[in-house]
Amino acid sequence: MNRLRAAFLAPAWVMMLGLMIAPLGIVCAYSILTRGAYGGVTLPWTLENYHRLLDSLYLVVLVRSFWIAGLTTVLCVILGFPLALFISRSGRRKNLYLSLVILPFWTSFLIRTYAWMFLLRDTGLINTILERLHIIHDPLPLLYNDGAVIVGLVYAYLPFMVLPLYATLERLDPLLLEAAADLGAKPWEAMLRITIPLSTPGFLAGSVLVFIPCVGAYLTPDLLGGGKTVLIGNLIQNQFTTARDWPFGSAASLVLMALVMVLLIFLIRRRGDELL
Amino acid sequence: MSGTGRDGFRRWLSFYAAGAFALLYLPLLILSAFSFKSSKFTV
Repeated sequence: MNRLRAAFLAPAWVMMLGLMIAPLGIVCAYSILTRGAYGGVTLPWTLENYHRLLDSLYLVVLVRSFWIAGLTTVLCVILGFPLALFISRSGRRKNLYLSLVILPFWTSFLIRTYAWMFLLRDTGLINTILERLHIIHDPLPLLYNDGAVIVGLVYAYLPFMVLPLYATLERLDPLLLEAAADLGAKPWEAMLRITIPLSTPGFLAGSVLVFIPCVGAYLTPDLLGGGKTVLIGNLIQNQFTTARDWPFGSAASLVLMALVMVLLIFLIRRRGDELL
Repeated sequence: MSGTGRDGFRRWLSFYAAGAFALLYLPLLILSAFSFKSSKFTV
């Protein structure tokens, strides 16, 4: 029986070993090697790459990444919660609205980001309309700043917040709200004291799903930030491409992963029963 | 929850959802609309 179980589990173990543990082991090894003269890695072993990350230049990038990811998560909560609430109370049309949330994400992520560039650039649609209406005379600097990056990230990750929130709200017993109303609670009181607290698992799951990819995002900051908003994802990408400093890029990747894991462990210890 | 309050809230939620769906679809709709003609708007 044990052999049979092992045989059935073997493909999963091979997948884990080949697709997760081995690449991670390579990244760990690279992070403590020295940069080769023409890229690549070479001996000796060193911890210098981790020391370099303590430079204020890189710490600022790390803090900015966490700040932008945090702000994006908060905005996704604010924008996503009413939408999830609307969908959960839509009766037979629930599935239609859910499909409408997911449908734009069948198109390429790159196309959607370019669509925002088209809207936000100096000669883009928003500035052109505002100029034609004589509301502004010079184009507004909507693109290539932190605001544009946050807009792009919120747009990209909003469904990741809406879907877990919907799953939680859908399970909410409507009788609780009826009971609150019978006991004299105003709509906003019922919202604050019943709907929102009982939606905590959805908030937590959505926040994890939005925050983690946002911290490591590099395409959106690169295109909508125009290289002015450097996040840790861009830093890592640059190390592996233009800078050809794979050891430093590996060290930065591992530190980012460790920080996210610390945050997740903290969250699971505090609210694990609601999150898992 | 009073009937009027509930209806008002539902109406607000509907408007909000319409705005949210517009946010989700507007960039793609505009991009696809402009893909059919030559335009001075470029990315």
